[in-house]
Amino acid sequence: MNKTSLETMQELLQERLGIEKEKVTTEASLEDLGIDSLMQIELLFDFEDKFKVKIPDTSTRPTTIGELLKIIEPFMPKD
Amino acid sequence: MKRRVAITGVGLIDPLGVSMEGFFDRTVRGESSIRHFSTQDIPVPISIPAVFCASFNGDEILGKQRTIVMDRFTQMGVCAAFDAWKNAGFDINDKSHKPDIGVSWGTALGGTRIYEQGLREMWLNGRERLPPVAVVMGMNNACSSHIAIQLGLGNSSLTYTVACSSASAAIGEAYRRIRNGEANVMVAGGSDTPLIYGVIRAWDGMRVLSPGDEATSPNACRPFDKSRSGLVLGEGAAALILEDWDHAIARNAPILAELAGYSSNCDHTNLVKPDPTGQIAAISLALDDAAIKSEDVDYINAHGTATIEGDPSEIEALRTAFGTHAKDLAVSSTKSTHGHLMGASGAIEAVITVLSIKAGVVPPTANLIEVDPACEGVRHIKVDDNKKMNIKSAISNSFAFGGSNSVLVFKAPK
Repeated sequence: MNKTSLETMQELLQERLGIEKEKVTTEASLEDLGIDSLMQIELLFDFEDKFKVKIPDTSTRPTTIGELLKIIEPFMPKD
Repeated sequence: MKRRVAITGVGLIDPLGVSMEGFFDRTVRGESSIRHFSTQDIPVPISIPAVFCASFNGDEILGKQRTIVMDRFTQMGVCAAFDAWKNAGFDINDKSHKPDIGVSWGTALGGTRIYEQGLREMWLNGRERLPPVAVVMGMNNACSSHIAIQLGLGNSSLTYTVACSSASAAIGEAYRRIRNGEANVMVAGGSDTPLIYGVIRAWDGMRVLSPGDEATSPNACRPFDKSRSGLVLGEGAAALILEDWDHAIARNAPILAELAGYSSNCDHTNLVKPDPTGQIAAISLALDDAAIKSEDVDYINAHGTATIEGDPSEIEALRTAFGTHAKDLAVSSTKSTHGHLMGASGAIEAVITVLSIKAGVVPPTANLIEVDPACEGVRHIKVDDNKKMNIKSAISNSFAFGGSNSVLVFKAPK
């Protein structure tokens, strides 16, 4: 079974930024986790790389992990 | 009246991962940090003597949330700057806005490493784009910017790219900024990481890299010696805290030395061939700026890269600039132990010069056995010589490709 988008994000943030998995919840503030706008773009790039997809540019500026996941989820592989 | 400039802190990356004090002690003993550096890099494996900071791990020191946007030259530079900042009695956790403190940094190559990695990914692995952070990791002013952001420094944050004079120019320009009253404190230094496939191959193509294997690499850099065979590339970083003298006194800071003079000029003759005339002028200008006479200088930390053409040119410049005093002038090239850090070399040599003044010792030119007749006329300091010396004034030379010369004059504090 494929991992959920949250699990994938938890793993990515732990590997890339050293953020503990339990801190990465859908309600968690990106700012509180130290994820600025540059880092958000980098994370989107990582997702594109990992799943070999292209996420179109969006005017949405996520402020929480949940909002960030909403951008990514349509492009994640389905079961 | 121009203000005096104190050196109140120093820091560096010890290639062997021990400590700044350990590095300096080894330098004074003439012990080399140069090792055989080999990779199975495609398409042709690398095998050269080099100074590689194998134990340096920016992630461990700075944390991944910082280093994810930092190339290796930035990671090293920030660590060296943090050490100097602490050495000067400042707090690295104090991020309050400091409009009177700035950064002046030198790098010859900047974030070349991240671009080479990117080119490999695109051309060898078919990747279409590079990670977006490559833009801010690769820019030459990345290190200066990160130091300013991490420490809350609101004065100027400038980067100087002047080949092998980069860090010396950065230190000198920082000195001028304080001297002219534009800043009270400056973090100055340099960092470079030239152990990159393309950079190594380019230097190899110039035929100026000294060869060596596992056994011979530690002795591969032999400045001024008859048997010298070229320079040794090294990676690293070093930083100094420059401070207005009265500002340092007021906060009871340790004053390690005074930066009393600086000059910057250009040979304007050839991109790679050094010209003693320009070097002589640079030395004279720096002595004038420091308001000292040539006979007041006790020690020269030479540029001394161990190239066939460069060493005799520098010694000729010293003979002329110092006249009858030249034969008494203690001279050494510490590149014999720490290699050539490219744009950071002026910073690590400035730190060594400051520590030499403080400790009352002169570091030797390691591997100097038989002085090349073309390099005679000064008092070369060899490993077995008496190295104790009360250094009142010392000079650090940096002479770059492109003809840009930078000379720094340090004095014992009083």
